[in-house]
Amino acid sequence: MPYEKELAALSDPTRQAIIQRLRLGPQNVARLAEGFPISRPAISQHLKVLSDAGLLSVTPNGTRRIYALSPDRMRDLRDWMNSLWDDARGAFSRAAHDLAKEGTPNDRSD
Amino acid sequence: MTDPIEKTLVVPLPPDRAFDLFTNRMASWWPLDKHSLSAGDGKVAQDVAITPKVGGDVTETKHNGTTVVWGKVVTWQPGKAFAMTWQLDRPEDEVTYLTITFDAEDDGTRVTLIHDGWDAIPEPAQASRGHYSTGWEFVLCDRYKSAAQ
Repeated sequence: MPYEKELAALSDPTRQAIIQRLRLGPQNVARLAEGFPISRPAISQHLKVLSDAGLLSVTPNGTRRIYALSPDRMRDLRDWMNSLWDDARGAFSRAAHDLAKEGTPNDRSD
Repeated sequence: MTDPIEKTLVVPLPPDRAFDLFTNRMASWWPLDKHSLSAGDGKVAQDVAITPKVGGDVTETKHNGTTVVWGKVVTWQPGKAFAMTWQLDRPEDEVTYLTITFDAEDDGTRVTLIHDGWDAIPEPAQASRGHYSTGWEFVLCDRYKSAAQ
């Protein structure tokens, strides 16, 4: 799957919570870590996974790094997800048309 | 509130045959090479099959022969409606619902697919206690879409 990495990154509850926190705006690690019952290095590790998956943007600000949601990437992901159902719909439609051409065994009059 | 994902199409088959194709013959049309758990490993799934009764499993047979349950049948009305939980590897309280309805039209059947149940997804306050809900990647997508705005 093209977005395997993103999905794996999103499959963790803490990382989901980080995403929710970043909805409120960009934040640095120290600020982000305040809301979680886990250590700052642990938060950093989660941020790395999200960043590596392309889901967050990281901006240096002095000695700190500011993390923000990466909207373009997310839009791409959403588009791909939507396309899964479009694929399934297209595949089903083709199969249905093929089946219709075959006709039913009972209504062949030739 | 997250809107359900909805897709519709009209197929040139009567409802009972459209239903039969969608459910009993799912493996004949589902893109197993692209959309399966096997596809996540770069492989093609061997099969996907629905046990045709309420409570029945919807099962993928992976490329290596192992089976994995996608969800369970919650509505089984041949020719009318099929619904299932869309669970994959999530806990039971983190499922979403897929409903397919089949409505007769003049020249065939309107098939409507609705993927719903996002309301179980907690808002940020709830997310902070580590409880979150996702049945399938679409959940993440929808959350992502709203998060990105």
